[in-house]
Amino acid sequence: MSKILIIEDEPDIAKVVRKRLMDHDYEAICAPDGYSGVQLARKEAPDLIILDLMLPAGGGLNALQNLRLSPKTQLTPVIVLTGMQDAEYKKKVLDEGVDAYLEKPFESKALLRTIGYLLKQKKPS
Amino acid sequence: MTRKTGRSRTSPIGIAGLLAAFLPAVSVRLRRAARNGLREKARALRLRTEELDRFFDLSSDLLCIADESGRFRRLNPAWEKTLGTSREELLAGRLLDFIHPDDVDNTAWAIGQLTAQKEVVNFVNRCRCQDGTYRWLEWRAVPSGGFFYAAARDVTDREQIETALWESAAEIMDLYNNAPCGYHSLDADGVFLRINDTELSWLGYSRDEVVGKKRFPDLLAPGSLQVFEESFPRFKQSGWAQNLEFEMVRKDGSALPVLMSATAVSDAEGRYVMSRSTVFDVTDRKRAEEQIRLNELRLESMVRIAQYRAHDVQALLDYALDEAITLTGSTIGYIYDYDQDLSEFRLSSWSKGGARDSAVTAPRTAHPLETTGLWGEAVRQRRPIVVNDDRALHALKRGGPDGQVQIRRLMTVPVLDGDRIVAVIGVANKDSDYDPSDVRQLVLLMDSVWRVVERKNADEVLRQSEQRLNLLIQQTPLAVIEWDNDSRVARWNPAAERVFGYTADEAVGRHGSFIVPDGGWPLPEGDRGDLPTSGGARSILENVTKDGRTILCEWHSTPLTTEDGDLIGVAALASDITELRKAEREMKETLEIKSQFISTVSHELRTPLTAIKESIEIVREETAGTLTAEAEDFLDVARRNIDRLARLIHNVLTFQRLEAGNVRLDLGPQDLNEIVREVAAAMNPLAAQKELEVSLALEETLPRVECDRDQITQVLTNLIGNAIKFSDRGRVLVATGASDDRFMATVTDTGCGISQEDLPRLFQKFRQLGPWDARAAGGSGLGLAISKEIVERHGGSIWVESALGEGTAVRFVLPIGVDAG
Repeated sequence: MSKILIIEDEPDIAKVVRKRLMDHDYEAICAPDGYSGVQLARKEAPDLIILDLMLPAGGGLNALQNLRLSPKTQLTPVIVLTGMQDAEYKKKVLDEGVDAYLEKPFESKALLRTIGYLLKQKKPS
Repeated sequence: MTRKTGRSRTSPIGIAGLLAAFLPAVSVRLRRAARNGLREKARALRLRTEELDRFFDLSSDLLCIADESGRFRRLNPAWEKTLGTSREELLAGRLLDFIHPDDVDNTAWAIGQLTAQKEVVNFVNRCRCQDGTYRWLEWRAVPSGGFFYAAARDVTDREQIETALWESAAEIMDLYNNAPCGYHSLDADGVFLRINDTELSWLGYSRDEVVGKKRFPDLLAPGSLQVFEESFPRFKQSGWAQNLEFEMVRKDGSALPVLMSATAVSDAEGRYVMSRSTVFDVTDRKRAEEQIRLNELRLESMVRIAQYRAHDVQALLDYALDEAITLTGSTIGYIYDYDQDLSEFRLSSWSKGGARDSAVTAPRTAHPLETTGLWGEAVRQRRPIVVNDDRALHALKRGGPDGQVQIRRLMTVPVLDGDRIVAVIGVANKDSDYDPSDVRQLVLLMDSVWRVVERKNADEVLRQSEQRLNLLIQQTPLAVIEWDNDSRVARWNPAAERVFGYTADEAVGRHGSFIVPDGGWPLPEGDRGDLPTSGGARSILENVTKDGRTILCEWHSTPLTTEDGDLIGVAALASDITELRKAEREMKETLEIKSQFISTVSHELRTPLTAIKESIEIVREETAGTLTAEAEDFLDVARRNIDRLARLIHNVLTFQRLEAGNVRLDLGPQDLNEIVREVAAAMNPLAAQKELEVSLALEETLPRVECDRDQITQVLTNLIGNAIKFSDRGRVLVATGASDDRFMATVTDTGCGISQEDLPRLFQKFRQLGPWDARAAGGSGLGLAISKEIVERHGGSIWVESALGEGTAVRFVLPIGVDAG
């Protein structure tokens, strides 16, 4: 069973995303801020990370940079799921290397399709 | 003039004297001899004869006795001495043989007289000498007893002198009569005693009309009478007069100006007998003098005109007209401006003479050339026109300023500026005829007047432009400051006073540092280390006012250079932008806050929206098939409105980003047809819901268009979305095309259409129009505003063609090679 880390400060969002993932047979773990998210990722080594950008304790970009610096999480697929539309911030995030960028409100079907696609990509390696 | 021979005249010595001396004595002695006896008589007679012969032989006069046939019977030796011809030769011939052929007839006549027993006295003829020359002989002869007794005296010398005298007298007469000057003599009363032909021909009188009949003053013009009355008695006393000027009057009444000098002829007692006067016709000199006088007058006029301190051109022209009238001896006149392009006259100046003359004062209305009479002639013929003849005047008179003024003579001259006729001047009613010299005077005068007028006009234009410039500088809200080369204030306008607080009096002459805060001088800009000297330098500087405030000023400085390139100062415009800057800053801050606010609010809205949306979805899925149809329906309502809210937030954020300029165009060559197909495909499900069809009419060979793919996708999505949204039936047509350098797309629907008055408001933010709202179409009201923003950023344009009930066509064009702004 694939393990997916949700780094999301909004408990309600985390809750509905987790429900969607569990309904589709994923193991979902949650972190409420950037710092704890990065810690949890290092500890749990999830197969995929869903990352919010507007986060307490460091913010999404900072968390992403830290994930990319750590060997354990360096290659983990990251889906950004955000309500932010700041173009410059988005560009920085994309430059850092993310695998998908979804805006809130998201279509759960699109999210699940993206997850499925990314995990399938990952498996052969 | 030759003299005829054979006329009689008295002479103190001649044959009469000879006879008086000898003949009476001979007869007395003969009578005495007869009384004293024959012998005694015979001896005495012989003695007497010898005595007489002695006299006969001694005489230097030529004595002879001839018979009636004209043959010499006896000659004294004086003949041979005088003529050189021998006595024998003379005795062999007849008298007539020795006479000059021209004198033969006369001589024959004289012989005839003698034959008729008449004396001949003082008969003169010419007798041939041996050498072929002739001698003049003066004869006295008497007939007696079939013989002629004649004494001839050689008067050749006298005759030659007389001939010479006669010839010279004739010559003198000739000179007298035909001299190029006039001669006359006046008696003590001034009556003509003599007058020569020349003077008579000048005056047009015959000699008989003048000599002994006219007094000199009878032939003088009234103006000269006084000169005569004064000078004639003086002349008779002094005996001479020199260079007196008179104006004589010819028989035909015309004037003859003369210059006269005279000497008096007096008798032995010194009493005046007559004058000998020389008269010169000085018409030409007078004319030349008049010309010189006129030229001098004109010169003076020109000097006066050039120096005339007229306030305006009108005053100058009035003045010039007066001068022209005076100069030409006219009494009235006018000047018309002429517009060659319009062929129109405009009265510019007219004489302000007497009330009678002022009838010309027409208002300053335009007179077309074709309606003008005589005074337009100068323009039509492009030359001066002189009319001295009443009838010709009458024939040409028509319209114009002639008015009720009686024009007797008129001269009108076009005033030329290069090839253009700019005016006409006319003067009229000179006492005598206008002549070419009047024309010349007028042309020359007006020529110089016009030059002055041109100069005055130019001055006036300059003055007005200076005045306007000054007004501009005085009234402009911009501070205008002129710096001299030492960076001192040379000009300081009222706006500068308002900005900096110093009056012009306080500021002018001060060094520029007085409005710069401490340490701010020299200014950082400028080639010369203090003031900017390069063209059009713009700078924003902190300045300090009189009351100590620090203000921010925007300066525009331009070096002032002469035509030779010498820098004479710097002109600066300054405006206080302190408040403006503050307002700008505040505005910017406000916009930033607004932008931040929208961004934050949108984000903050999205998160709960996402939670709601997902929760509803989950509920729907979890409860699928267990809920009533009504409950399902309300879940749908919730879901639709969540989507709508999501779109609204999305659009607000998009528009805000566009408006704030935060979106860069990601340009690349794009196949617009491909984008249209993609968008149409994506929109088809929506269209299908309303049973609409999205059909395409794409131009096949479309060039690639330089544009931002995502943004143009958004535009097409908006337009097609709108078309679907507002149509209930029919179809939505998307067409593409290209011409030259532009791409065009049209989205046409068969919807409700838009009224004309609503069209202009279409692209405003948050604007949905009446019927659209009624449809509760679910738009944000931002779609068209966003589309417009995007298209315009691409350098294109977008517009709508529509009529209520007839559907709508939205078109946008993009430049193919984009010049994005």
